Amino acid sequence: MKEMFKRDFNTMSIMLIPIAVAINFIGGTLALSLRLPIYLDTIGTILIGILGGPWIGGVTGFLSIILKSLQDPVEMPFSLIAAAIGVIAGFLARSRMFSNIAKTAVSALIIAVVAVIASVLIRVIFFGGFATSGTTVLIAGLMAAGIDFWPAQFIGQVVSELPDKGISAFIPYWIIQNMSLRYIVKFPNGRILVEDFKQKLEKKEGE
Amino acid sequence: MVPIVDIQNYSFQYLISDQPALKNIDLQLEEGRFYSLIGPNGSGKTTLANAIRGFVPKFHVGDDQGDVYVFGQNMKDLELSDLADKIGFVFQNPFTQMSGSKNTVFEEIAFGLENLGLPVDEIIEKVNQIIYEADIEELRDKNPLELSGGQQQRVALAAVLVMEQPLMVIDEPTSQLDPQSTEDIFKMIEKVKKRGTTVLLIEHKIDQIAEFSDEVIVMDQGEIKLQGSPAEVFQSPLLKEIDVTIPTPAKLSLELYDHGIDFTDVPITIDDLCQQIVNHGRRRLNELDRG
Amino acid sequence: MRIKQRDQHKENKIRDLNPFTHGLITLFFILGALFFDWRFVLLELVIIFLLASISDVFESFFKAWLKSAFVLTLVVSLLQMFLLPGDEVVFRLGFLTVMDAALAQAINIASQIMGIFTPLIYFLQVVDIEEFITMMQQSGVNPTVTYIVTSALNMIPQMRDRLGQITDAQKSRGVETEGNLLTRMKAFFPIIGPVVLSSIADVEEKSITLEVRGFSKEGKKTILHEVEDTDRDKMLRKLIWFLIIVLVIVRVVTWFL
Repeated sequence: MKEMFKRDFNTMSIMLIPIAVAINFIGGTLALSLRLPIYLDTIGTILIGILGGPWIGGVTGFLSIILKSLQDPVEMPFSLIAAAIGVIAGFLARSRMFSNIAKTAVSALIIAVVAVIASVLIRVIFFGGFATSGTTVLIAGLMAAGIDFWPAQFIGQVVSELPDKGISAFIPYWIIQNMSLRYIVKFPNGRILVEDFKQKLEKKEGE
Repeated sequence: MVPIVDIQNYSFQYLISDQPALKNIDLQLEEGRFYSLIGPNGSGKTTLANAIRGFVPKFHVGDDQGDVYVFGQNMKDLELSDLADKIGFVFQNPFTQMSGSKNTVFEEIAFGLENLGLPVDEIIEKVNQIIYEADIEELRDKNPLELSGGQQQRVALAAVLVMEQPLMVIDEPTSQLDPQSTEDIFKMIEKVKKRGTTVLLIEHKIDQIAEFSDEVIVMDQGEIKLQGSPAEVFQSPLLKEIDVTIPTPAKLSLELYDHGIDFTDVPITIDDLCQQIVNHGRRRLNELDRG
Repeated sequence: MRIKQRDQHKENKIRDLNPFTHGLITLFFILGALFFDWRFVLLELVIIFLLASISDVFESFFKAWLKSAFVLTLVVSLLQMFLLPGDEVVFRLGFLTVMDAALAQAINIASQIMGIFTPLIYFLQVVDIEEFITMMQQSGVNPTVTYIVTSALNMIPQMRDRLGQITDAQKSRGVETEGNLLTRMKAFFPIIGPVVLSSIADVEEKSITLEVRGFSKEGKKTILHEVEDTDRDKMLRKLIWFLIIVLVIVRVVTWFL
């Protein structure tokens, strides 16, 4: 029996990117139409980072924001944040940090923290710390109440990014739970994910 | 003459599956002939089609044994990209056969030729030609993603045919289409046959395709059970054990046999059937005359 | 956002320029805004507004500019002015004070935002993205990259349609999209789930389609509709590269002075 794992990774992963980008967009659209207080526009990036690895995740994140900036170029600097999220999600998945709910929670926290730090940096470097979003109102309010610049920035971003990125990291986990094993294994990170599932099943059977 | 496809004792099992999808397949496809592949769901037809195009095992992961030769070369020595200009492949879902990167049907059809590196004027000529032959002139400037299923399937077929591969593998192209679109597709496939292309067509709508098939292959449970001319295959008693639809005229004649009406040959098409009825009637009249 | 059909009837000399030429002009302005202060940016704005009217995109450019860079600059510089600390008070407005350092920073950031994003907004108005992407491929960028970008652009409206369909379907099955926050949040999952899962399920077949059309074949791919790159374009770009180098030199020199 000769097992042939020589597969055409490239085409599948390539095809995943546009779809993940679109998922980011419609996640945002849906969140908007349901009037949710969070963006949920990085679901695609994290999902593809988990399935396809850091490189593909990074490209997806970057491309998503670049395409968003076609409508409003002001978004462009945030492409670096989105790319970072994709890369991190990919590495976390490879280190088996999405194999159960507890680990996913940790991953979500890691991603949220990175997002907060990166957001503060980008906003300050490119826009002096302010923008036209609700977060800015919060930050301005805090500063008017006497809180210093940098703490205000961090508090503002934590309020805005923590719930959003936290929940955004769980949704891909949930989605992958609903995907068939047969399909997951076709993706570059697939084998790791499937092995985790198989371990879970064996544990259950052993009990 | 070397057969275009030569499958030797080939077996395949998908990775996350406990049953082999193909068992000891031996099959040769000769140049220029039209093969219809029929069989119940799960019999391995799609797997076989994928094996011929190399997607099994290069795309769909699994274990295989035996050899598949196409155009004299072993599939193991070939890359998927080598086969794009040699083996065309069309499958059921019209939507996923639109590349999604082109704004007009014309560009969609040209996409394959762009990838093959043909010069621009040749591409334009060939695309115009196929649009004319496939009778899709009215779709030329439309966005492929905004077409109906039937229209998309016609475009998909055209987009592959324009690449002029010597072998076409077509896997249930009409199963998601309405009757009119089905007719349109079959008309296109008939034209393919006239080109002299070698064709392997997987279909359930046996009535329409029995007529222009040179050979019929019947699969069941991962094995090839029957192979031969339509007449041979549809008269075979083995067919009763396989849950597969046979052409209505043939079915009718087998039913009539049970009622004591014996045709000399099993009819495949309506014309055959009428001819057989007429012949039978004449024979009976002759017998009555003599008696 | 669907890719526009190519505008074949551009008779405007500026718009006819190759997308890369436009891109280089944009780069020049952005670098200038980063290297120099509000005086450069003021000049830059004048030039861009002029270019916008010559190239016949002024109305749409101005609208986009107002909504985006202008509002942002206004808000950011006002907030900075009134909230940042400093040593001396420059002026008072009721209970609001403006410190000297804050004013300087506000002007600085205003100039930076205006200087970087105004040329970008103009660029997006005057260039056809599809042509830009084609030009990328013509100049040697891997066709895979251009495929990914083009495909993503086309996929977004497609998936929006699917989102609409699934939303309707789920609504008719009793999923509530109105009501309190918890109800609305719960609605997210039964809608996003099927959209994402069905889109991902398509990936496999779409990959096969690409393979069938020879996408992974090595060798040069033909481009059906090439973008014109005239001699004038090439000369212009050389000129702009020269100007960019001048910019860099001036910046470096003034740094040491």
